Amino acid sequence: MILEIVVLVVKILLLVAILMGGFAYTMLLERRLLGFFQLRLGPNRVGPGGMLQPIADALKMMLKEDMMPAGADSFVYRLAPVIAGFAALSVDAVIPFGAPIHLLGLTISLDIANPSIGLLLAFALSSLGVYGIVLGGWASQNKYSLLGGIRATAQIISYELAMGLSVMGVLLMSHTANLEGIVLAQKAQGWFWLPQIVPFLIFMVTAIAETNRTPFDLPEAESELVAGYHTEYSGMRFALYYVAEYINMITQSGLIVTLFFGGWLGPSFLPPIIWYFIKVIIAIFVFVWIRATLPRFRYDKLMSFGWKILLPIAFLYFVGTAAFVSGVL
Amino acid sequence: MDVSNPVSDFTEADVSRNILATRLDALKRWAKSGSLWPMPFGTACCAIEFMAVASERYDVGRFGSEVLRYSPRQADVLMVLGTITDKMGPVLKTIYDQMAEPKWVICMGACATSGGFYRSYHVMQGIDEIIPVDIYIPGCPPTPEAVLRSIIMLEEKIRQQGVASAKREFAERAQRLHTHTEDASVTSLDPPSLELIEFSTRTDDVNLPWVAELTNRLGLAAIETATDFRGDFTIRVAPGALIAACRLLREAPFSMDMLMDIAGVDYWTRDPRFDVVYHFYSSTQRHRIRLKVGVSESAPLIDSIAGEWPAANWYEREVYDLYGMQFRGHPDLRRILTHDGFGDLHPMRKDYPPGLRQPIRYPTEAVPAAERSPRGEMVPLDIHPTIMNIGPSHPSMHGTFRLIAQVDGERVVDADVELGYLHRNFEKMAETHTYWQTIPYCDRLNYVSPMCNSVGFALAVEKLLGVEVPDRAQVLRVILNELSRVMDHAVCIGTNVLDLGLMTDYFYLWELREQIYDLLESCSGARLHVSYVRIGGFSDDVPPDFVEQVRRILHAAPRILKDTETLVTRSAIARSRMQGVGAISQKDALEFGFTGPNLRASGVAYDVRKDHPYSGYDQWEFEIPIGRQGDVFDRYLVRMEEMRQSLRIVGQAIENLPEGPIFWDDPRITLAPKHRVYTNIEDLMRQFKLIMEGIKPPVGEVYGFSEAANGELGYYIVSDGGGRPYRIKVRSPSFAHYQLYPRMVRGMDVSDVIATIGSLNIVAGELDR
Repeated sequence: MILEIVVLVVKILLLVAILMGGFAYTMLLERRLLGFFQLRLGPNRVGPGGMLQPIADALKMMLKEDMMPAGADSFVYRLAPVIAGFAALSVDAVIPFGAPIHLLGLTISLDIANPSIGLLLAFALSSLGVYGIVLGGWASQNKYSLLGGIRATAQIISYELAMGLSVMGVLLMSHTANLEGIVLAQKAQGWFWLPQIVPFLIFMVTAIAETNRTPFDLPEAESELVAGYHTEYSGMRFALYYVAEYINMITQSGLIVTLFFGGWLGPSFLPPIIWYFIKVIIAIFVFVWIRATLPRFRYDKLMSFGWKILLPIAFLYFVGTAAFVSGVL
Repeated sequence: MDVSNPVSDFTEADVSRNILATRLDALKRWAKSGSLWPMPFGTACCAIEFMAVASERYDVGRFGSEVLRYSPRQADVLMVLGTITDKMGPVLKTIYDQMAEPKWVICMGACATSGGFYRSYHVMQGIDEIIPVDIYIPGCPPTPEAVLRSIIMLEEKIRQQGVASAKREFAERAQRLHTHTEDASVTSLDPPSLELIEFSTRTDDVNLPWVAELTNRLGLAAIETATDFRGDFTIRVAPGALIAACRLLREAPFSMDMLMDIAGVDYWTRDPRFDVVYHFYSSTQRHRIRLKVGVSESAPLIDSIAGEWPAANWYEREVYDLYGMQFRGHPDLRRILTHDGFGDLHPMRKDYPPGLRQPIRYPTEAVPAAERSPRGEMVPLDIHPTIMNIGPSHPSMHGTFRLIAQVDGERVVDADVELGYLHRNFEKMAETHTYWQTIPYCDRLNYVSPMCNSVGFALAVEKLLGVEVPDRAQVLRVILNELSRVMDHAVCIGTNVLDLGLMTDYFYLWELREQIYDLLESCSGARLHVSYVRIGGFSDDVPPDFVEQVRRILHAAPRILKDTETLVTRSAIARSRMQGVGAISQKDALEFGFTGPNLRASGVAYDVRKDHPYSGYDQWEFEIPIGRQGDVFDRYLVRMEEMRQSLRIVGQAIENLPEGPIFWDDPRITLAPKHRVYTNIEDLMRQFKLIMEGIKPPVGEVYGFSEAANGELGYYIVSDGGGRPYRIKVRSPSFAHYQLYPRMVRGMDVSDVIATIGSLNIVAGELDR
C-alpha cells in the first residue's frame, strides 16, 4: 500500500517534471522550427546551440515584476492563470505514456490514473482551460483582454461539439472510453487513423482550436488584440499562460497519438515509451508547421466553420461508423 | 563598514568567487541578459530597418529576442525605433511606465536620439527628455548590424551590473530626466529670412477653350487672373466665387472628378497674405487645373468646399491647422497634424520659427477618467458601446496610426482617426533648406520606397527648371524606381498577411527586399535612405556590376512571388479574410482622390506612368492591372501583378541601358566633376555657389507628379527665385487614402479593420509629413 502511494507520488512528480521540461523544450523546438520555416536560424546563442534559451526565459519570467492593473478584480485576476495551468497539467494524468511495466513485483501503468471514462475526463479537464482565458480576460479590466476572453468563449462553443463527436467513432470501434483500452484495441484492430480518417482530421483541427494556436489563435490574436486575454499579465502569471498553451499542445498531441496512432505501440526495437514520445514530437511538428503556414480565421467564420462544416461531417461519419460497427451495413 | 575591520581583507574577487548569493546574482543577470524580449515602439524609418533585423538575413531571434511583445507588461526592452514627435511623447512615456521591471530602453537612430535633422517645431529633440535610455544607436537609419550590436552591448551591460548599481543608476537617470524636461521646450532655430518677396502675376493669354467657358459661366469679375507656367494652368478666382467655381468644375467641359490637394501658401508681406491653392484633376480628360483664392490676414475666412468635394474635409483641416485659415461651413474644423499645445499658433506661417516647440501636457493620473469619442467629445470610460483606442502603439497600426473606434462587441459602430503622430514637418524643413538638402528629407516621406520620393522631387524641380535629364539617368531612374515599387509592394503584402496571422510569407518577401537593398547599397552606399538622386541626374554612376546584379534580382524574384501565390492566393483562409472585406467603390475612390494600386483595385485604370509618361516610361511595354471589387483581395492581386509588371519594365530597361552622362551638365544646377573642381577656377566657383547658395530656379510654381509606389506623389513647389524653396506642399497618396478609412471601417469587425488598414498601405511618413 505504502509502496503504491510512493510509486504514485513519484509518478506525479515525474509527470510534472516531464511536462515542464517538455514545455520549455517544445517552445524552443517551435522557435527553432519557425526559424527554419522562415529562412532564419532561431535562438542559438544562449547556451550551446541555444539549448539554455528556455532556462533563461523561465528564470527571467520569475524575476520579472508582477503587475496588476489598478481596476482589476484582484482575486479572479490571480486565479485565472492558475486555472489555465491546472487544466493543462491535469489532463495528462489519464494519458498512458507506455505499456505497463513490471518493477519490484508491482505492475506500474504509465499514467497517474486509469479511470474507465478516461477520455471523458480528459475532455472535461481540458475544457476547463477556457475558464482561465475567459476569466483572465475579464478580470484584467482591459478592453483588448475582454475581447480576447469573449472570443475564447465563442471559439469553444464552435468546436467542442465537433471535437466530441469526432472521437465517438473511436469509442464505438474500441468499445471503451478507457484510454489504455483504446490503445489495446488498436493493437488488435490496427491504428484507428485510417478507418477514422475524417474524424481524425476533424480532431486535428479542433485540437489546434483547443490550444488556441494559429489559425485559431483568436483569443490571443497578436496583430488584432495586442496580446489578447493576457495583455495585462506580466512575469510568472503570464508565464503560466504560456505554460498552459504549450502543455496543451503536448496534451493534444498525446490524445491524437493515443486515439488514432496507437499510443505507445510500435516495432519492438524501441521501448514503447520512446515510440509514444516520437509520435508526440511528430504531432507537435505538425502543429508548428500549420502555424507557420496558415493565416488566422475571423471569428464569425470560425463559428460557421465549426457549426456548418465540422459538426455535420463529424455527425454523419459517426452515424456511418455506428451503422458499420453494429453490423447494419 | 570600518576600513580597519579584518573582514575587509576580502577582495572583491574573493567575494564574487565564493559567496553563494553572488553566484545566484550572476545567474539572475545571465537569465535577464539571455532573454531580452523587445517591445518595438516603431514610428518611422528605423522601424523598417528593425524589420530587417527581425528578418532572415540578420535574425535577432538568434539572441532569443525574436519574441516581440506588443504588450508592455511582458517586454524587457523598449526599442524606440524612429522619430518621436511631441504628440507621440505622452504615448511613449505611458508605454514605458507600463512596462514591468526590470526594463531597458534601446534608442535607435538619430531622430529618437536627438531629433536628427528634424530640428523642428513638432519633433522631440531626443527621447531622454522623457524616458531614460540605456543604449543609443547612431545612424539614420542605423544598419541592422548596429542594432544587433546594441543588443549584444545591452546583454554585456546587464551581465556586468549588479542590481544595486542598476537601481542607483536608475535614480540618477530620473534626476537627469527631470532637469532635461525643463529646458527642452525652448529649442529654437533661426527665424526665416524677412526679405521682401514679390511674385510675378503674369496674365498670359491662355488659349484653352475652357477659360472662356469658366469666365462665361461665373462672370468676368470672378476670374482675377489666369496663368500658364510650364504647362500648369492656374486660375485665381475671387473669394466669393470659390464655391460656384468648384461646383462648375465638376461639369463638362471641365469634368474634374478628383480633388487632388489643397495647399496653403503664406506670402508674408503681401495683402491678401495667404493663398489657398486647390488642385483638381479630371480622370476622364486627363487634365489638371489649379484654383487659387487669396485670404487676408486680418480676416482669415474662406468658404469651405467640403460640401461640394468631400475630400476637402481633411485638406482644409490641414490648412487650418498649419495656417490658421477659418473655413466657413466646414463640418469638423479641428487641428489635424499638430498637438493641442499649439493653441492659436499656426506653425507653417512664415513668421513662426521652424524650431519653436510648444509644451505638451503629460498624463499625470494613472488611470484616465474619460476618453475622446469618435465625435470628439470626452466620454466616461464605461459607456456602451464602448470606446476602443486602436493605436498609435498597436502592432497592426504600423507605429503611428490611431483609430478611435466605438465598438459594440467586435463591431465598429463609429470611428475616427487621429493623425500627426509622425508630423515631423517636412514642409517647414524644406523651406529652410536648399533644394539639394531637401532630397534626404524626401527620402524619408515614404520610407518603404525612398527612391520613388526623391525621384519624384527631382522631377518636380526639373520641371520648375525646365530641364530634362540625360537618357542614361532616365533609364536608371526607371530601373531603381520600379525596383523600389517592388520593394514597397513586397512589404505591403508581407505586413498585410502578417496582420492576418500568416508569418512566413513576410520573411520570404523580405528576402526580395534584401536583394534590392544590396543593389541600392552598392549604388549609393546606403540601404534604405539612399539620397542617390540629384536634381538633374544622379550623384554618381552605378557600379560596374550593376547590370549583373539587377539580372540576379530578376532571376530570384519570380520564385519568391510564386511562394506568395502558394501561401496567400491559394490559401482558402487567407482568401476568406480578404475577399469582400474593405471594398471601395469606384465612385468613392475617385471622390476621395485615391491613386495608385488602391484606385486601380477599384477599377480605375489611372496610372501616371501611362497617362502622363515621364522619364521615358512610354518606351517600355507594361500593363496596368485593375481590380473589380476594390476589396482587400483585389488590392493584394493588383499589387502582385504590379510587381510582375515592374520586373518586366526593369527587364527591358536593363537590356537597353544606354551609355552616357548621368547628369545634366549645367553650371547652375549640377556640380562639376571633382577633378575639375580642384584644377579649374570656374568649376571651383560653381561648386562654391551651388553648395552655399543652392540651385536658384526661376520664379514660378509647378505641380510635379509621378507614380510612387502608393499612388500619385505630387510636389507643389513655389519658387521665389531664391536658393531655398518658398513653399513645398507634398500631395501624398496616403493622406487621401487614409481619409476614407474611418468611414470604411464602420460596421466592420475588429479583424477586418486590421486587414483593411494593411491593404491600404498607408505610410506614416508621407501621411503626416
